[in-house]
Amino acid sequence: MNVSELHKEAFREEANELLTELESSLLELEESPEDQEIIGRTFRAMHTIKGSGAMFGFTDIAEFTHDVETVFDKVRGGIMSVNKELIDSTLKSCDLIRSMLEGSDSVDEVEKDRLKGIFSAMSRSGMDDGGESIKSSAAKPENRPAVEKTYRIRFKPPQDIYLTGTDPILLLNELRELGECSVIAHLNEIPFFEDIDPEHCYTYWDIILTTSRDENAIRDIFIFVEEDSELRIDLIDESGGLLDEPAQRKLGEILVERGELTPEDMKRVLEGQKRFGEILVETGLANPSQVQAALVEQQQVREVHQKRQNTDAASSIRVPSEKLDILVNLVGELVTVQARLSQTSAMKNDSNLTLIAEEVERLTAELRDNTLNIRMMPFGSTFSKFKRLVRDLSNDLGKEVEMVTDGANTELDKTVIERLNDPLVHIIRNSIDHGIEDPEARVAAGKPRQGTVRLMAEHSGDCVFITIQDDGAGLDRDAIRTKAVEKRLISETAELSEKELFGLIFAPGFSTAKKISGVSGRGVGMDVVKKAIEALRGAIEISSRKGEGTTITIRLPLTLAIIESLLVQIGDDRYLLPLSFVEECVVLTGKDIEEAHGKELANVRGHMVPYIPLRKQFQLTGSVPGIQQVVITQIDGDRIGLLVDNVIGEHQTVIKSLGKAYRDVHGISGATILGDGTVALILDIPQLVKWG
Amino acid sequence: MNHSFQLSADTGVLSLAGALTIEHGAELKASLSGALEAADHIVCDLSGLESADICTLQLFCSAHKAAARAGKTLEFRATCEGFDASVMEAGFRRHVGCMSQNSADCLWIEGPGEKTEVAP
Amino acid sequence: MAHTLLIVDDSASMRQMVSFTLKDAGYDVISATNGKDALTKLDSGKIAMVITDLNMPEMDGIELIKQLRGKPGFKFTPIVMLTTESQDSKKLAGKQAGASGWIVKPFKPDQLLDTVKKFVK
Repeated sequence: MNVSELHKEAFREEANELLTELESSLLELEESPEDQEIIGRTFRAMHTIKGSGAMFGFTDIAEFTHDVETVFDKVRGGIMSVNKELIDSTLKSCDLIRSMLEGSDSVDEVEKDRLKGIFSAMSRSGMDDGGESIKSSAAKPENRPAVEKTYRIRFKPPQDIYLTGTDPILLLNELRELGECSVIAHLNEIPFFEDIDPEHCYTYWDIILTTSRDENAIRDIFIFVEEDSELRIDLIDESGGLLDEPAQRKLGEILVERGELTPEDMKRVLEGQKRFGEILVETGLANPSQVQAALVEQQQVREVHQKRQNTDAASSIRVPSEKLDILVNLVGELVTVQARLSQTSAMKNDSNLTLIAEEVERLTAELRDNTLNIRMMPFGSTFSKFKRLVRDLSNDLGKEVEMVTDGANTELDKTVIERLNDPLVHIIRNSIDHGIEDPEARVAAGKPRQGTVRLMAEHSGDCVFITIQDDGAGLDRDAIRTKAVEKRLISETAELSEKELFGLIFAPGFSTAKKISGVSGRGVGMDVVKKAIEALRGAIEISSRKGEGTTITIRLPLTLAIIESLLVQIGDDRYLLPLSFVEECVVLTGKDIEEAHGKELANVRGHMVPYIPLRKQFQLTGSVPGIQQVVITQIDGDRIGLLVDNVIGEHQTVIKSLGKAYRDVHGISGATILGDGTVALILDIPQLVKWG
Repeated sequence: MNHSFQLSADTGVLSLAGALTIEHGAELKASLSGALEAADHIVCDLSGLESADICTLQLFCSAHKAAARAGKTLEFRATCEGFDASVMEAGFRRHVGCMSQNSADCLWIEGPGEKTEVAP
Repeated sequence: MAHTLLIVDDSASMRQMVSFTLKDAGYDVISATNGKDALTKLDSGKIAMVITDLNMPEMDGIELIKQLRGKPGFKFTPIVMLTTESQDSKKLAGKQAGASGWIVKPFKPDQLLDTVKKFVK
């Protein structure tokens, strides 16, 4: 028998005795209904059954007895009188309580409800004293917020605290159990020796407590003395950072907030040269214990902050990026195997296997997303480097340039951020070298002396936009045009839209700098930038207004590890076209080919779109189906089609890079493994179009 | 508590032992009062003390101030672990004394002089 | 030396539970069935704390507290009331009589020990 069973058994025994005694009391009471002694005995018996019943887990008995007890309390108080009905119902209650003691099986629930009704009606009649409820459990809800808070507690007990049997030291020790605690006693109210009453408490305390418990836990400690004490609990620091600012307060500010020093006095004292605490004590503006308490508070808050910073640092770990790359590769393999599992299970038509395959699919997707997420880095991590670049460049060039950044929290795949570095350096160099004017020129043009380069990152769907904007001179259309003609990029008479004209900047070998400076314009043109962005499966655009500045916008996929693509088929082989380039698919019949008279043009709603027959391009043999598909892509504003046998559908793919041997193969950017285990090549559309 | 008082020249040594609690408050006040009257330099030998409560510490503090006002001295000698723990628990230990003219002259200052006699 | 605690309650099961819990925690326990009984059991040495029920025959808890506070050895002794009465009136009467605190029934052994720790080192 365990301890609680032991207590239960003791209660059963006791209750049975009490019930027997109660029955004889009730019979006596019937004879002499005014006898206070018997009434008291009856009440006490019910009271004990209720109280102890609740203690030892007989909550049903406690609940039932509650109203009976209330009724007899009223009888005891003269509010109700004893009658036959009361005696009858109480005797029946005794029987019921006996059966409840035995266990719930033998309890007559109908009778229980009937008696309950009678007593609760009786207990409500007459004066309502708002009787206690049995449900007022003493159990306190455990409230443990994870955040650590620092409180300042002023505890000034009543002078006669010892006469109520309470030792304040024990309360202080209880506080110490809640957390890190600094206790400072104030002794300034201790009277002269001849006046001191050795049984009185004249001491009061300031306690600085750092705890994860809330204010109620602190108040609970003082529950028996709070009414007669001065108890003030102030939250002075919180790990959530809400109160970070006050945490850095100076000693004087703490004293002023406590009302122990006026702001004027503080100001006056501050003009002195000595240490603030010494001055306060010397000038008598604060007593030593007040100063000490404030110093202790300052110290403890400082330590808490220190500790918190240390734990903050420990909440993230550094991992070599190769480990992440390996993880991503493994996840990629897993995704492939999972796809095969799904395909196999679909063919087997086994519901158990399907169930497992679906579970694996769900888990794999979660694992993939989480893994890719680990590789994400805030773009802001690059900002300081670019700020430094701007500072150095503008010094070299005698220009005044400020860099403004935005979207530091925008996350991008680590590889994307790394490979974005060189293009961005180049673009920013161009902005400062060609864009931002000399300070004098700017002032003459009515602009502020200092130029501004903005670097911004922003999420949009599954893309990230990075914008580099300057408020410099803007692009000179005539200069671009002259240069392009000079370089034989366009004919003298060519009519170009603004977009086409600006697009020329990205042409290989184009540079408008009148002289070659050390900064930009040394052969490496914007064409290199464009190539790098495209290698990241991104796109770059430029817009400009003369005299106002230039804006370059780069669009990038969130991650390089996964690619949304269109799966197409040529003969027995399958290929993937990155979805970001694909505009639409149109059907190409034999008749369409005939009508094009040997030219590789598709008629898309009346517009002729050139296409590249991939079958021919890849020198594939085999028969051409009667109906083929043209995947229309858009590259730099031009629509170009790719002719394939069949379009299978959209496909999310983990990219595998090709080995060194295949690095120089044009038109292929990577490979992936399909669900059935076969390899599909990922086509490099810009390259294909260029070579086609 | 047990206490005894020995006077030699102008120095009186008050030896206190046992647990000093509120029950002995009146008794302790009387002993301290007697010592303050009898001697110019009072030394409280606390080596036999087990513990002290707030009331006891308050009495020491007040007696110390009374001695200073009368141009006398009162100091602790040979405090023990139990007493030091009580002083810590009660939060009486401090860096700055209450009598600012000489902050070293305080019963509760922590430092090297804590357990040895402090020269008057 | 273990502290001695006095538990006063007319319910045998309550006395058993309280003394079991306290003894288990290392205290010595004396028990009494009501106030009058308690007053006869004070000579057995220093009592560190009294835990008493309020509703009891012969002499109730309030009267016991009053009488104890009048006795020389009990001026500073912690006295805690065991009560189901969550009304303030009973608590107030107890406090005025000199009670140090209260425990509301039903309570768990841990709650009892937490309260005892408030008063006994």
